[in-house]
Amino acid sequence: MVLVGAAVIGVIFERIAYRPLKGADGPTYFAATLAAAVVIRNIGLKIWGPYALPFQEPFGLNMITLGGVRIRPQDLLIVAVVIVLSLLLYFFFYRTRTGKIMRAMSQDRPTAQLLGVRVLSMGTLTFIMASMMGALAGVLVAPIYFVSLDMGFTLGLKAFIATIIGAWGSLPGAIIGGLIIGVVETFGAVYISSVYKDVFAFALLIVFLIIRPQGIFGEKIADKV
Amino acid sequence: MNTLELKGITKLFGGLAAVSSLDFTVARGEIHGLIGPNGSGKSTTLNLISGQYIPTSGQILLGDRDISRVPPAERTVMGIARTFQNIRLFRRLTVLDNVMVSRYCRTGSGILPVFLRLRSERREEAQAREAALEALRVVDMQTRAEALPGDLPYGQQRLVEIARALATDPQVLLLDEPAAGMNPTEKRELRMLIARLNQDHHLTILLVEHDMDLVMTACGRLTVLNFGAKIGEGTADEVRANPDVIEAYLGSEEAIGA
Amino acid sequence: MKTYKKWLPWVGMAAACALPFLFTSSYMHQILNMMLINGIITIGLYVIFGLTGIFSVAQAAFWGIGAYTAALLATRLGVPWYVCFLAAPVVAGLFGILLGAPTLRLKTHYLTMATIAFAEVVRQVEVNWMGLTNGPNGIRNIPAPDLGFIVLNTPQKYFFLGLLMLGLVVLLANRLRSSRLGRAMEAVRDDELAAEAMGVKLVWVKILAFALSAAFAGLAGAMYAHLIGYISPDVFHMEVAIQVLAMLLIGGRASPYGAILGAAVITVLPELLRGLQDWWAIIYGLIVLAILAFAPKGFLGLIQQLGARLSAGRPAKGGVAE
Repeated sequence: MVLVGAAVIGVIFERIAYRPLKGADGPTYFAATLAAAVVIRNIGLKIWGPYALPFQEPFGLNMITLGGVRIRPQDLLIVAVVIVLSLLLYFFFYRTRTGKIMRAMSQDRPTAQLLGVRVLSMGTLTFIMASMMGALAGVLVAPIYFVSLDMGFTLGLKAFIATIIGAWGSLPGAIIGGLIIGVVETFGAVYISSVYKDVFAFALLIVFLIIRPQGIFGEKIADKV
Repeated sequence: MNTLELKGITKLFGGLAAVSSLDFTVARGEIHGLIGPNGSGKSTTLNLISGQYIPTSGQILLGDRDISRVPPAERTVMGIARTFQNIRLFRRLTVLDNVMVSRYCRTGSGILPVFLRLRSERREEAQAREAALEALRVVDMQTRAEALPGDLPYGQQRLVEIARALATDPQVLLLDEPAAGMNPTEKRELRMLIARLNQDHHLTILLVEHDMDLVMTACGRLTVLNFGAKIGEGTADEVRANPDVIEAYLGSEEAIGA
Repeated sequence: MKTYKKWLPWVGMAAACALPFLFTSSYMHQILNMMLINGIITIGLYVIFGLTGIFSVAQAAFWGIGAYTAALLATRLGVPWYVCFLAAPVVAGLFGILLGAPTLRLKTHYLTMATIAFAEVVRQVEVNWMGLTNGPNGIRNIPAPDLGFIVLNTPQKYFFLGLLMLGLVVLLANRLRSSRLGRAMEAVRDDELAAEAMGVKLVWVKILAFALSAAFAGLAGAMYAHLIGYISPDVFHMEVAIQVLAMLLIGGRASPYGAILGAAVITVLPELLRGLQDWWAIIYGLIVLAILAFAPKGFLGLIQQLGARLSAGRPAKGGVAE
């Protein structure tokens, strides 16, 4: 049900915040995205109020013990979902026609249009998928952190960083990037400083941008003169 | 001493050799043509000379200086200027501003003179403006000084590019397919412009071009490339009669004006 | 067309002097001051993004660095306000170079990400380094500027100092854009490769852009610190950087006046929407979206188009026919 709602929001977003911009440049899209975020967030504020809501833990407070380490069942669920989702997405983007069309669009939109791809509906589909995944992440994480309207921002930033570390436009890259951030953050919080936990992702980003900006799986993009 | 010399230049992109073991020289004050079929490495060679690419091996000499690894901006200061195959004018600057950008490397007002509007800065600005207008006059585009590149037809944009290159006060001018997109009248005027640049402004010119008419009549000597290697060189007549060259341009006898 | 451009800014300044007297509430005066401060930050963004084409989201961070520099100097070392006003842009400018230098080779969205990362790290330091910044408690008791014959301890009085600063920044920005440096910046924005081929030293130009934009934001920070008298890390949140971006895009990224116009609009918009109670943020976002979609060159662009239409009747500038 949540997923359907997210899908609807995705469509609305695309209609209002994406299409009207008509090929404006990057920063304009960026600003539009953020303006839309303000709108969505405040609609949420109006509906649910400003206070954090507790989310019913589906597994209660039971921990599972695995190899001497205590793990929350929610975490295991998240891992399971990530694995399943990764496989699904891989299959979608690399094995289905629609997925390949989307990848083509991202590489060369005008040519894709000329070849008959309905870029507008594909674009809408992209937004639908993205919002659904965002919503899914929110639902999965909700029992661990409290539900509030700001939970998305930092997560969103880290998602961005993950795609850069992994390689922009690479599916395995995004997954691995996310994993790396998670691991570095946690170990950093334990061994270095828990206060600066959020900084680790950014420090990692800076390191990567200097040493290997194209990401782990990235390719060099040469300038044609 | 030759103005420009390429010794054993090889450029690899991944495994592909765009240029291999290329030796060629451009003598001072000559108009030298660089021709060859598509993909023969002409643009790559030009990019190697102007600094957009660094050679994988070999040497590039400007006079007696090894410039193989010198960055592009510095090569411009040394006297190498160029135009581009795909026109690369600054789209949001006026024609005059486009050409005035080239005066950057010949002027030196820093942030303080700019902020304080020192007299030295104002003088420099006026001189830069005059130099830019002069360059535009050479190509006869001074009347469109306030236009934006997007307002101009292709042929005129190419002329502006030439003016822009000219405004850097070069000794060597690299022209990358300047006749593309020009009609026969414009091409004729281009030929005369090239001759003027060579004689009146004492520029050594390296011309990469597909239009055989233009190349054969404008250039003193030619170098012919195919698949990244030199397959012929000499005067227009010598090159036209060269069997390797003819074969490279297989079947297009009209193309090389035979 | 060109002649009135010369005296427009002076007229504008003179007209602006009347503003604080149009309102009696201290609250409105505060808003006017914030317009000035935001205007300066946005002009900084104009330098690095409008002129040089580098999409940096770190302006808020530099604003914060300037504010903290001024606040610390004033409260810990008793430094007078005018030295703070000088030191803040210098320190912020240095941090600008610190951000610019290692990120020079990065392209487009990588560069933007780096600026976001930088901004977030700065904010985390502001929040967590209790020893230096006093953490989330912020710094209090920053003294109002003492001019000798008058102390600027009300927003109304402060406005004129702020206006002077804005005027100065506009002056510098205009001189920059009509100089060889400004041209070089615009060349870098339009075509980096060609700019380099024409002899422009990319490294210099980009670092200068970072330094100047940060310095302007730093000055705005010092202004803010001495105006409000109290600063804390949550003022300099990322949302500010986003608002600054909106200000520039909405006003028009092609000139410092666009920056000021956009800053004024965005600063005052929440006030105008106050009547809508809790709907205001939603309408605000929608308005911003609408302007981005339908006025890509910002208000200044719209005004230019209007001007062009009004002087229509003359045939459009014709190119030479082929």
